[in-house]
Amino acid sequence: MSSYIARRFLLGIVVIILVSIASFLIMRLLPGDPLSLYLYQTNISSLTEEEHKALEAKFGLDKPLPEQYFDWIGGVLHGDMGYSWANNLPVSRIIEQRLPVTLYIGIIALIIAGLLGTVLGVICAIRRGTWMDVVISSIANLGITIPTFWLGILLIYIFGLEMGLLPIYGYVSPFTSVWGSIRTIIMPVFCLMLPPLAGLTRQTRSAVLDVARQDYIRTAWSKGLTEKVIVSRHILKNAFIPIVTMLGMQLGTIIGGTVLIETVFSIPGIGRSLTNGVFAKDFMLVQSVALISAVMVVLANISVDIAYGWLDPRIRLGD
Amino acid sequence: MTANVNDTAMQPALALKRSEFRRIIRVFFRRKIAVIGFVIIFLFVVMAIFAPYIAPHDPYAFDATKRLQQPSPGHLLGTDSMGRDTLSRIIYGSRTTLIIGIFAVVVGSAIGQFLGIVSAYFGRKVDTIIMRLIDVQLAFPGMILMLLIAALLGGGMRNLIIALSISMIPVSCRLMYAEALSVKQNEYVLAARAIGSGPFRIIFMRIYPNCFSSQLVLMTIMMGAVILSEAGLSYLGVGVQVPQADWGSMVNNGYPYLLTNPILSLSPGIAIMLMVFGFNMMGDGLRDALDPKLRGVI
Repeated sequence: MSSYIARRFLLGIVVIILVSIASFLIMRLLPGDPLSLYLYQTNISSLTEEEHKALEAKFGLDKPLPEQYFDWIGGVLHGDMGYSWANNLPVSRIIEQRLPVTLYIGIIALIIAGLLGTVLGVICAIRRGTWMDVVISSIANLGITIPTFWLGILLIYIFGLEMGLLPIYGYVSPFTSVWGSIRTIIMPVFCLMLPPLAGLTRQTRSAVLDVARQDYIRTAWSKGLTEKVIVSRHILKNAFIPIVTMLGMQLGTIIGGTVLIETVFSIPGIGRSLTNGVFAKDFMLVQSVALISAVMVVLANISVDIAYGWLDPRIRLGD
Repeated sequence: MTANVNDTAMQPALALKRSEFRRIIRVFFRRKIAVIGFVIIFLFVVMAIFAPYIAPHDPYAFDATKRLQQPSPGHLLGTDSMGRDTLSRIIYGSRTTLIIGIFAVVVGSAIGQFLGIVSAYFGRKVDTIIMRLIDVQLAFPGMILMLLIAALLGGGMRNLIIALSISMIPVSCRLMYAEALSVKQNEYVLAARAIGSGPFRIIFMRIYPNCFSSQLVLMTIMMGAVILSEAGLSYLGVGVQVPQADWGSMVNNGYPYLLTNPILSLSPGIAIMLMVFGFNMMGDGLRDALDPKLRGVI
């Protein structure tokens, strides 16, 4: 088991290195002058050829690409992620300010989706064909068809503009005002949560139904065990492996979702700064955000692998 | 029975194929929800093909005197900030969405299937390299990767198709890989190798046909996901170029007028939902008809 986890970690590191190279190269290939927004921000109207060159040298843009890459990645290892031209701030400062906002919203969405999705999926499966199954499954089917950004706009229209119940944009930190914070994140969290919740419900339902068809479940029934014992001790234990896999995959969905949702609700999170960064050709910012999200996805996958071993003795004791 | 042996023995494959096809059609059309999905998609396709005849107005005609009109008999869904008829733009938008969706899914899954089947068949180094690259792509959240590629290539339909199809590769590759690994174990593959068939003959003539049905199901269901991504990218502003009629950008363009003309932003979203719903339900029905084992996998 430990060698298995060590191998997964090694692979994860390889994946992260490749992601960093890929995002580095994609940003360099973007057309246009990366410094134009820096000039705009700093109110420098025109530059001579030499001044422009000097500015490029200041940000290391005149160096060969491999050197630029190693400068950046070396800095990242020391906690220095470079300089964001478009914001005229160090990237680490922007991430310090914005990542907690995204994590706050994303983690709440992931926890709700994970818990509720599993519970609803199990209910659907063990009450298959009843009205509860029909209602929950239909809502889950709807959940995977709604474009989240559109749902956000619909909620803004209904609860923000028509009813005036909730603020339509912006973000309040929970350290400033707990109630104010809840009011601002309620709609974004709902939008962010819906696709993973719907996906998890559907997949949990079919995973549980799969296990429920097995012979040992029939044996359990014929032994006269109660439904509660069969569901909790026999079905759930075996259905958890596919469910955990899906939960791990939903992290990527949430990270991608924040890009859209933070734009809809004007939330100052990392997803929004990524979108702005792409348009502004803000190399360092976009590279670093892509790297951070890749690290999170890789860590989630490794946790899933570790969870496998914990849930399934065959894997734990296998080698 | 003895009299018919020769007849059926001569064309067993054909007979089997025909009855299998009938069975698939029967199972598919027995599920009401699959039929509803099929009908929705059929209507969208008709709408896209005959858009010029169905649309009540020219979707690109600017008219400064008719800006931001509320719904009326002349303009059933009102007009946008440039006086263009919203309903006509939604009807033409189905063209954009279907073309982008179909091309992205076909191109993306063709590449993914090829990579998956090749790495499953050859194994060893080919397998390691391809599957690690797929891992790298999976570590990139799809939306971020598509945003980067679309920004890199610049907007427009062709570039959007490229960005979306790249994002599709890992899913179809993984499914193909898993299926091909198990199909590869069959005796007829061994037999084909024994009679001297080359690797690509075995891959395309023996293994691929046996993996096709699950890929077809996956492609149908991926249509829904691709349409949602396309709308998201267009909403963010890296989608099709103005003034092309596109649902995602209509949601975005209508947003500033949400208070006075909510229908501008909200109606294209309903079209997106309907089409995604149609493809999802059709995919579910196809899965049950073609390969019920896939339940829970896709």
